[in-house]
Amino acid sequence: MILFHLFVSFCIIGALAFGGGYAALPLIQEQCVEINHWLSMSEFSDLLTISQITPGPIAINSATFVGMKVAGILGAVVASVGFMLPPFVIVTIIFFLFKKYGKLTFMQNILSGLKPAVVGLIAVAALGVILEAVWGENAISFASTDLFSAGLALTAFVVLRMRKISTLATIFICGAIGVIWELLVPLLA
Amino acid sequence: MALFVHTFTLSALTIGGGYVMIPLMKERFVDKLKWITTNELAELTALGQSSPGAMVVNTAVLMGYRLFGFWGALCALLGTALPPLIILSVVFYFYDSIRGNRFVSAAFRGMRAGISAVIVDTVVSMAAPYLKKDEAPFILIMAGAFAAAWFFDINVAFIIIACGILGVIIGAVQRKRGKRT
Repeated sequence: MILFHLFVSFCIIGALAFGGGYAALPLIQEQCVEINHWLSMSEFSDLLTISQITPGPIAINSATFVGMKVAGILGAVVASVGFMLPPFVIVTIIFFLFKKYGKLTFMQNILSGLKPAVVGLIAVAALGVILEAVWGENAISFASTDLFSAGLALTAFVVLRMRKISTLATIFICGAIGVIWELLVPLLA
Repeated sequence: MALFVHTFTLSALTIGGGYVMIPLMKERFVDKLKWITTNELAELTALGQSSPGAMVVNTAVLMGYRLFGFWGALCALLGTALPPLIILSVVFYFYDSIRGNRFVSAAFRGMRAGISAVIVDTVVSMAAPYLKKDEAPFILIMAGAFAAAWFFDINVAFIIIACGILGVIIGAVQRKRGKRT
């Protein structure tokens, strides 16, 4: 039953993840964190981190990770197949339509409406991840602010905008700073 | 099949998602193997982007169809999808067993700050072209989708379907206006 549930949830994600890259993010968050509670928000953040530093599309990484957590290897396979089935069917249809007509204005129009929407939705997911990083489970107030995380996130953002280092390096450096900080705090106190 | 081996090795070695893999696909399939031309790959990438799901998987599947028909597509699908599936299964075991470790959780605390910066950076980069071009209907869709999900907690799947329909309507209106002027 849980396998069927996983399959259906990831079918929904696969069928609606238009727009590449992070487009699946808000859908994964909704299905896995909010509706089914397969992941906590901090696990979801960790999953994004792991996806960024390992090969493969975020959605397949997520399907595997969530499937493993909920129902082991079989769960991972079922969730991944669920995610890939709708796109595979749609890509097949698109391939043959394209071969016949040479262009797909209808598809382009759908996309032109979807792309900005996806940006807005990813922004929502981004806010969720920031809240998790800086406030965790706490209510949002100045006293509960994790100043270390907030400062680190802000610095990382500035560095990224200046395009000085890659995404991958940024994440690793932030991880290293986290460990160094953990070692330093007892020394300072 | 050779196609399976090629997509498998490419997929296993590319960290950083779709847009990193396309140049590598070009190098392998266009320059080295000469299976398809640069133009064809660009066309397939565009089609892969307009379908839902992972862009890289879609592009590989389309290339499989182009080269060897249905079985080629299936080989490309498996070749692209298996490496992340295997790697993430292994990573999950490690994650689950070392998560409680003080230094691992400290590293994840730092990386959580890092990943939030990465995602915000992506959003800013994605939103910039719309804000620059001053395309009112699309900026409205962007703001509307954000508000619907953040303030009104409306189902994401529903928002996506609604915006797809809006896109078709805007397309039709623009075509009509184009004819008149």
